Amino acid sequence: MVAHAQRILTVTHDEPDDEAAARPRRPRLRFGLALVGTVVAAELLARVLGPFLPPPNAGLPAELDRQLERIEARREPIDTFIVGASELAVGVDPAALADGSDAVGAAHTVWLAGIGADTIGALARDVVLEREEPARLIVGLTSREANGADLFRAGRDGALLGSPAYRAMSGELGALDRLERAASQVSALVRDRDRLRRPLEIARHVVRNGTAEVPMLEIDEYGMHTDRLDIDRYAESPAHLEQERQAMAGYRLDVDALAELEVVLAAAQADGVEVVLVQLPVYERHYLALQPGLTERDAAFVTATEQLAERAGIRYLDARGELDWDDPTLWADVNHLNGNGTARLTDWLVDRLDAA
Amino acid sequence: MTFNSIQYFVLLGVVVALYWQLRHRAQNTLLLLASYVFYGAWDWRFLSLIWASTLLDHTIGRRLEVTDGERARKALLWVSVTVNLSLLGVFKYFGFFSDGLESLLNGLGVGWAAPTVDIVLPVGISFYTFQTISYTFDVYRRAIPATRNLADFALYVAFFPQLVAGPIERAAHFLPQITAARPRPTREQLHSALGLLALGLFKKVVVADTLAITVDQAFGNPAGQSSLNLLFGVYAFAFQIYADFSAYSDLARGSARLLGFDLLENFRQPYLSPNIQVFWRTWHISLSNWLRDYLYVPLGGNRAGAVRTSVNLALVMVLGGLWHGASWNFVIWGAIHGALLMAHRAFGGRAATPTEVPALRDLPRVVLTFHAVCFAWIFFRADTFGGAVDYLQGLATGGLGQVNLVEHLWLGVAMIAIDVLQRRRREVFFLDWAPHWRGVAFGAAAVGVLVFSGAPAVEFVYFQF
Repeated sequence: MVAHAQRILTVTHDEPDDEAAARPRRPRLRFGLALVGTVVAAELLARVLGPFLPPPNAGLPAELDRQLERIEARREPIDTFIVGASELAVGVDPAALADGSDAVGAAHTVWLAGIGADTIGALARDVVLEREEPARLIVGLTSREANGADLFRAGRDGALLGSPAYRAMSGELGALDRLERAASQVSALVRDRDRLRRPLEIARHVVRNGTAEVPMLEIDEYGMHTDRLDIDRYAESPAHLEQERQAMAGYRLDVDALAELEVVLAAAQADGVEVVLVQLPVYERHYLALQPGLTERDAAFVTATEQLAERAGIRYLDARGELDWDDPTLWADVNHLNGNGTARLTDWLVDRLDAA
Repeated sequence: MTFNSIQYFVLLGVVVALYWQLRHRAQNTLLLLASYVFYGAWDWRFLSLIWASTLLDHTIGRRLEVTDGERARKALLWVSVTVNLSLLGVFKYFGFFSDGLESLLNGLGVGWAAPTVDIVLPVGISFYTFQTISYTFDVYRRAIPATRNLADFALYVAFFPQLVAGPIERAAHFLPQITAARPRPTREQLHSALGLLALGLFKKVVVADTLAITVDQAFGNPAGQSSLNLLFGVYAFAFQIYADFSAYSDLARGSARLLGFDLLENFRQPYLSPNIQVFWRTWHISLSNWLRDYLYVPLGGNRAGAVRTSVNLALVMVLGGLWHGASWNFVIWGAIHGALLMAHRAFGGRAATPTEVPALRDLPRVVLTFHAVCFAWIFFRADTFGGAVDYLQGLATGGLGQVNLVEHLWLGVAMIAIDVLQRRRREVFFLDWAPHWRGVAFGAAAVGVLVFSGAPAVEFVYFQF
């Protein structure tokens, strides 16, 4: 009897029906292992690819970190902050301004390359007004900072203002941001995801044996942008000219960005900070030829900034209109001054500030 | 609260966890509350519009059922249609029509300035308005009985997985699922629900939001782009909008399936269509069917001769275009599709039910149909008519020049691959795979979502409609 039962059991085990044979064994375990294995394999691949990944797309947050470090490193109290994009950062020498002006004690430049007027306003608010106690805020603009059709610029600005680094700086870091920061400490998939999103570029870098080094712009201890003071570097570069041409394509005055800047400047002025808005010079004969129809649109920008200053009740200085800038020895390219031009603009600004 | 946000998945998780602990009636109450919380997260004020629409159509439905006189029944139907379309008209089309009237009157020499009214468009109004109108129509036609329970009807209007961007449900399909007790999902249904959620997240976060970068560059500044860049820009938009909208439908259907509901299928691999008629049978199916049943057929459909059929087609497609937004660009988009459909009929084209991957011999027709659809997309995506013309001009005259918008187009290839797999097998194709390959598919989707979700969140394109 027992032997018979054993034989039945044995047969049942040894000769399963076809359906049972076709069904995979331990499907949940196999599914789970494969899922976890895929994630782990991707993590390992991300680590292996690390040295070959292209530079981070979101370069502005890293640049902002460096700007904050520079301010931290200044031991003296800073009474004058100069805020803008690269045109202002290369155009005004903060050390020379402080040395030359009776009104200015210590000056420092806060800037990011290629940002728009709204982001300049955000920097003025979040980096300067909320964190420091300045007596004076100098903001400079060209029409390049108010092209509403420049979606590349808008995308970079949006990535900056939406980045965890920016939210951390402006004190708006949420629970998810903290979680993401913690995850980025342990996972290359999270840490490098800005760069992992571009498989074609990764492939190009692997083929060319590229490195992950991030090119950083040169900045001195006063925050000044210094690597465009050499005239030969950009003036003859077709790629650079093309970049400037693209930035002005389809020019549409970004009234919303200017309105956002106006809110910040008006609030600062109301809080007792002396706000100065500077119309920065451009190398007009080349700048206005970047795109057809730019002359009229650029003129509309100048009018809009004058009106902005009037509405906000802030001081408006027209460096572009008061001096003649049609001189190749002053320019590094179509909108960035070289060393000669910077000295000229800084001297003029010293005169204007001291004359007030 | 969008479907690709952590907040949504927290809400869904809490609702699902509570839901299966409750009895049928309490389940419906929970879903109704969750739906109002979901919608109120955008703007609580607009809940009043949903409530108004719900009360009106529930009351009219009840009256229609007990009224026998044809004139009185027709009057009730017209009250429902007029009020619902008026709400839509005020909130969505006021500026469009008042600006049009201003231009017309000024053109006739009558000086009149349209009043400047800043009206915010309530999210999903086009979807739930069409859903309530279809209910009243069906009750009027005695195709379905009127529902007595106001809470059931309120859930039919506001069910959160499909409230803001469809699929546009039909009462005959959806109300019985609300009124009857729902069985717990089987393991197969649960797997397909999770599969749809994974697929939807992948399409939205990885494909649509990444292609949006290329699309914004191309359409934001067509004057500065080469012809090839602009061509890639249109391709990118074609796949962006498909991935974005079908992702929403996948997430809606996956969420609903976790709750024991079955929502209508909204997409069936439209870019594999060999002609424009098949495209419209596979693209935004719930809207196409709505327009067919409540507009095209009542207008006479194809039963009143070739000319009348063409007029009906054109009218339906133009109104379908206008449904998407208050802009001439959407009207032109609809008109282009109307013209394509008329041309297809004029040349004796027939639409077979798409069941298989197109054969190699069908490939030229598939490619041609895709490009015709892409041409219309230019008007759909451009901000203004002038913007669309600039884009077309750039396409024609921009030269080969610089090509830098090709980087993300591999995602379009990925969408085609997904379509082919879906057509060959089924919607959640990876459920047919062996467990370990299924694990790889879910793992790959998780990695994709993790890597691509760091960029700033982008709203679903169809939320604006």
